[in-house]
Amino acid sequence: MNFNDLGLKIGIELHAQINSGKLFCRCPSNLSGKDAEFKLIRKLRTVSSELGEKDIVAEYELGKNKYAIYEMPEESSCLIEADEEPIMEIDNNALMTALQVSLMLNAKLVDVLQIMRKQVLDFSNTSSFQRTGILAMKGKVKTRTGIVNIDNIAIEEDAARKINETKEYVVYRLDRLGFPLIEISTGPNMDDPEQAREVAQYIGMVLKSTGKIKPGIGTIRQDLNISIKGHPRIEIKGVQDLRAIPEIIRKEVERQLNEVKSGKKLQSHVRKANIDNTTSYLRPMPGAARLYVETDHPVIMITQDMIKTIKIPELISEKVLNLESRYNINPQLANEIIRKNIDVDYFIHKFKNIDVDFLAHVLVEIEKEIEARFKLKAKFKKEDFEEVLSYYDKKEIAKEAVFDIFLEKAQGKRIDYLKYKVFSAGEIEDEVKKLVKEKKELSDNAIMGILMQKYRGKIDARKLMEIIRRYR
Amino acid sequence: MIKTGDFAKVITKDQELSGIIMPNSNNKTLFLKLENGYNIGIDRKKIKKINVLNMEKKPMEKEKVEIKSKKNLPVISLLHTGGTISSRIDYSTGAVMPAITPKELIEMFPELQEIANIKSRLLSNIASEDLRFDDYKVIAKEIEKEIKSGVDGIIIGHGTDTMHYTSAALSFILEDLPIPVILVGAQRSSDRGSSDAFLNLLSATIFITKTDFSGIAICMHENLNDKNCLILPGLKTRKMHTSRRDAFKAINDDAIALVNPENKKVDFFKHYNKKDKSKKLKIYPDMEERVAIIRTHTNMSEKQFEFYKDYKGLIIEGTGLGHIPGGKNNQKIVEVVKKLAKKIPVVMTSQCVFGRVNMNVYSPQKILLDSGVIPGNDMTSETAFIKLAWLLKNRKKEVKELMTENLKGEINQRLKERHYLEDEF
Repeated sequence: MNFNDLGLKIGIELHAQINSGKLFCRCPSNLSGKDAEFKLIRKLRTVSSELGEKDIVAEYELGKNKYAIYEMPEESSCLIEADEEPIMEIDNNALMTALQVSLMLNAKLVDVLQIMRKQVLDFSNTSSFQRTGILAMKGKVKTRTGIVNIDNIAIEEDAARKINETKEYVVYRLDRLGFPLIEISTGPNMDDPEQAREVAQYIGMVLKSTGKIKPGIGTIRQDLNISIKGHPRIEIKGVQDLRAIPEIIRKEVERQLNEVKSGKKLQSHVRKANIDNTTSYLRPMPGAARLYVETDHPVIMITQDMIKTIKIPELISEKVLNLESRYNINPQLANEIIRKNIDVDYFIHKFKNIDVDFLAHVLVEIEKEIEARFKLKAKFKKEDFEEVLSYYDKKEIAKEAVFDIFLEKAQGKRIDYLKYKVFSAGEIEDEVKKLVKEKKELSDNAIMGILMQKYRGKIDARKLMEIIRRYR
Repeated sequence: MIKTGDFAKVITKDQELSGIIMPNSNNKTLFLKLENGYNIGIDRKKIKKINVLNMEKKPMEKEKVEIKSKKNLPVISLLHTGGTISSRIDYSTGAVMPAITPKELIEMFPELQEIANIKSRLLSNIASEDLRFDDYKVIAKEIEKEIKSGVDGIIIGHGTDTMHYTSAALSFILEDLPIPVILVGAQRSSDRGSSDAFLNLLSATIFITKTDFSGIAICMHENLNDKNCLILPGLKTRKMHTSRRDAFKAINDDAIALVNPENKKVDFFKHYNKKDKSKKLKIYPDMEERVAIIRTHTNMSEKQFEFYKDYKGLIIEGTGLGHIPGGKNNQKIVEVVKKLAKKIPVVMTSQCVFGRVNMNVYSPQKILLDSGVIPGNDMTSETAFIKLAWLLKNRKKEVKELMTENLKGEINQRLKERHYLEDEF
């Protein structure tokens, strides 16, 4: 497919949950697994706009005379989520993180942030609007195929979590309502599905570099805006896996091509991403967003004093490159060290006698290896690593013993380091000599095998092999 | 000249932005509504130039709504006094404006017109905390006018903060009321899809059209659900929460009725006066201006009470059963209060809100009783305040006797177990 000829336009909207308290109340941003202590029944009404226009989405949602049941878990919601109390002031940690990200994406901060109400009538917000505000504009991301503009960066509240829906009512849980989100919208100036993936990945990496984005699956969500010549804009919601972006776009372009060929009257609408990277109809496209000021919150001056306190962290991508070149570690290992936030410098500095590759391998792989081979979920603490590696650093245990000791730890056993005490090659020299003489028919490796049954993890295998060869 | 509503291009040191100039702009910050609908603020110091691209657009003429009255439907007058219920946001400026005309009201709540012929009028646009006794007089006279025109019921749109003061005042001012007068407020403004205004108004409309009730009452949400509304007694109700939609609770009394707007069912909980259009309304709207409420607390000085020496009446909202600081080290306070009580009516209520005042239990308070302090029984301080101001102008010679007598349902002699906060869980 030649996307240029099709007039393909792609834009991305990326939402990430900031790891702080809720944006406009002092509840923690925690999802709640417990049954809600309290339930609310609510109705919403369309409110005729200043121009007398009807909101097409509102008609669609409310035309059915639906009502909402809101589950209110006490641990993560209060009267503010219930629309029973005016909002409190914006969470400062969330605001500062959003400003930090804006600067990292080379965007221009606004002088004064005004919180707005964006009407949403699908019951996902008890108040009937989402609070949102633009805090930066005109950022830029460099890609291999050119510069992509970031039009707007907004800070906003997340919606309630949909639990169930029937013809008569919809059930939402209020735990997620009010989580702070940063919304990053690119311009519609991408024309290549791979470029879209690259941009989403880059922005995701920038977000994670702050260390202040909620960890876990689904905390960063991508929406795609896609159109080709002759087809109105389609918004695709709920893209969770970055790697799926190019395929979703390609499939959507094919779908749009078929629609255009069919000669049907086409309408802009919202679709949702399916597991097989196809999309399906979700709802009509909302009209021009109706935004008006949130009168319950004062405007927020973004002062020079605030900006001065913002530190720009090293990007994850830079950290990985640094690590690779500093210690000559392979890129995949370096990437995982950074991703897992392992303080490898500390260990390298502390255990000078341990080869860096082995050290990195232990820190990154040992848990995975134990799980893969023994179906044991292991989670070692920094102290565990320090303890085991210090024995090895002092050569009190052999390299081979390191894995065995971690396995014992994963099994919950107490470690008897005496058991793993290393024998110097000299201590067993006589035994080796005798064995070599007796079993002349055996190869070096076979003799090694016999000895290793007895001395696995207690002797340096390389040295042992040297001794075997010496008595041949 | 650049003015609010103009579409302009703003050129600053480092960028160009286009949008509509917003009214909350000031000499430090220019607020601009961008084309995507968001507002942002620009530091005036950074602005180099503003080019007006388009003059302010006049808002589009709205579709005209014909209001046809339907035969056989009862007629209800909806009188707006101000407050959250009758306001809505001006989307272009973000300012909260009163929604006043019948047309606008029907745009907001078209369903009401199916139940009754609604005549909507704006009396004033006052935040309820700003109301004065003269405003009660205006409301009373307008009610009289509407009743003379033959309406079947009246709804008063009111700010919630002092709605219970107004309902108490109207209860004393209006005598031989032939029809229902229901005060309705909202805790969330009518321009939001989640507003409680509609359910409250709808319930009041249903209550007026479906029952033979007559009298003054308040209609607000029963609880946090958009399901039922309570009809609450005008003299025994109080705003008990700063923000919840079920902020209004009956105090030391039962609610009058529960309205379920979905099935249009009304359940009554107590005896009530019946509608009787042959009754002739009389109004007694005068009230004494120089009446006040003082709330006692620890560490008081007698000077706080001396302040009221030129007043014509005083409510003391005491602690517990109706106590003021009256021990050995507070004798000066007792002396000042005794002196006041000889000169003007001094009425004791309780800051407990729930329960009855009883000044016979502890001796220092008995002394006050003997010196003429009037126990306010189980009246709320607000109702006692309104009643005292009204008696001072209308039944001046009998103030002391009438304060302790139940005139209009303000005193409940039998407090039941259920007349207190209910457990929600």
